[in-house]
Amino acid sequence: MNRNFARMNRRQFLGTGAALGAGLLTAGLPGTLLAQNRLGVTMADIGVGDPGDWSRLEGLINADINVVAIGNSPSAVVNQLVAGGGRRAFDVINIVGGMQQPLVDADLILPIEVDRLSHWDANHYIADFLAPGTPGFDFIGYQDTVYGVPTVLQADSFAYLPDETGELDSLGALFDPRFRGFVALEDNYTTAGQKTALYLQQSGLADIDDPSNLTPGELRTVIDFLIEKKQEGQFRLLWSSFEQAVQLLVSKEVHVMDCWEPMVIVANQQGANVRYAQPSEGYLLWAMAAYIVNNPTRSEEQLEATYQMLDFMLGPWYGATITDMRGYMTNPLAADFARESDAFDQATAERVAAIDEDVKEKFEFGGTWQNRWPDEVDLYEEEWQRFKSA
Amino acid sequence: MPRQAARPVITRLLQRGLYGAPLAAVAALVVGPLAVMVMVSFWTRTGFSMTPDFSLAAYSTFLGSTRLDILFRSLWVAASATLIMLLIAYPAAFLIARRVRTDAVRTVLFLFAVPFLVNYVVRTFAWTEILGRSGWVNTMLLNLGVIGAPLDWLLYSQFSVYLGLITAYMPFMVFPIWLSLSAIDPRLEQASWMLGETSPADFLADHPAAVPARGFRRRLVRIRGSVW
Repeated sequence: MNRNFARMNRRQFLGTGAALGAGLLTAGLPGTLLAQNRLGVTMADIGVGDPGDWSRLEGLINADINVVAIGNSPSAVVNQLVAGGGRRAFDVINIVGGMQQPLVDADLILPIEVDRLSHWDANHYIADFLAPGTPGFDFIGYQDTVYGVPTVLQADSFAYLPDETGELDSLGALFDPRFRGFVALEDNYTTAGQKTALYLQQSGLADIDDPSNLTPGELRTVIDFLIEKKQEGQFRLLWSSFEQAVQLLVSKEVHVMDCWEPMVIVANQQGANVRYAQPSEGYLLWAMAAYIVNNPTRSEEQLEATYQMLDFMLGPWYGATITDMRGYMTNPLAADFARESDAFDQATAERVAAIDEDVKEKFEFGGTWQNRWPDEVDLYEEEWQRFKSA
Repeated sequence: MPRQAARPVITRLLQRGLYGAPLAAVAALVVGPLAVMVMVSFWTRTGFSMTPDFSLAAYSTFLGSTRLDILFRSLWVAASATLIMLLIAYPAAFLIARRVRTDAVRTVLFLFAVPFLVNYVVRTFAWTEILGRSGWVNTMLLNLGVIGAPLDWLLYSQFSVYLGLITAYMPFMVFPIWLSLSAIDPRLEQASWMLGETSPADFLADHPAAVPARGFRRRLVRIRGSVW
């Protein structure tokens, strides 16, 4: 073999190389062309909207679904789209809604043509909780136009360890001296800051008109209160990641924590006894919105695949799966589908139905709608930094 | 004659080009972006973009906000952590250079490098398992009856910030100090002792060969520390 190779002259060597190259190219060409014909839809998600298995959708629309992570803070989302190449890389961003104003003003997202979504009209949660003219509409719409597809609805409160604290039913537990040093807040003014504002308003400790959109004076009152509590040693830490929050509960490092319900579900799966409170002051209400990123180079075919993906996310299988995985309410079709379909066992179907009912009751109880982009957003950022550095 | 004179000129130009190219690259890649940043710092913000202007608004915001406090606090933490690291790293390097058997030096230095085999984030998070209320340290102290309740100050405190910094960066200080001390001829120590220096440690602390490494390490660790 080596001897034969050594006997090849330059012309033979080049000829053989060219023939091999042409052969490889020809063999690989159909696959390459096939790969080029198959579309890819990329969704940037904050970590709770990925069911893990997109094969049902991929089979329907002849497209590969790619899910990538994106941060949930308003500034992180905007930075990713403005300066991080997100406009070309993503077709959809699935984040906590309410971000329409900055995204539309910067021409970063497209209006949703709801006629292209077959599940839109069947989803009466949109009419019930997110109708134009209600605070819920601010999570998906802006200036009478729909920009976000509501994939999830949820009402947040706080977690506690009943074995350590007893039963708790007030946001005041976050600031109760009995739990000094055993409380953690999320490092996020749109959640922890707004829950504090709701507590101060409902308990009469501060004169606050709208906890979701504080005036500069109200905001300073809220932050001064938080700083006072922080300096008294009330807070063990500010958490900033899902896993960290779960670990804090499982290890009993904190007993009361401002957090999301999926963390409670995961902590209980890991053997902890954690409850998600039903606070008398009300809940922090919010919805996730899937936005279509304004990519000027996107083809109509690609846009159609993107719409099919959004329609799938309003559909029953996706809804039931996310409800089961995360404890979020998704759409009215989910519970019935879980009960009737072979895709879910009976226990799972019952859990999905129970979660759906539970979240609906929370929405009926009410609270304050989370505001992701308050009027004084720069001051919110500044004041939150003041709290953190105090 | 002119041809002979031209050769040194060409050589000089080539040399200058050889030295100048890296300088130009540094200027373009480091100084250039910094200059752009300084320029943009005077612009005004409009939504998500910056508009060319000459405004001191950004400086006013920086100087009038908590960011300045955070900057000074970061500098203080970096400086004090560096000092603590020096107090630990210098004796450690001295012991490795002068007291550890020559055939064991590599092993000891390797042990200092072992933590770097683990990702920095993982290393830092591992402290929560060790220092938490139900972590190893508190559990051990409780079981031994040394304490009646978990020590809260072990984690999420100034102590844990310093511990994280020191354990993460101290080896960066040990290695170059050890290297400098190893380069000092032991006979100089003996000579200094004969001339009245009371201990080898005093001699080494004063020896000029050890100074550059300390200075360099201090700067490096301070830069890393200020990131926290």
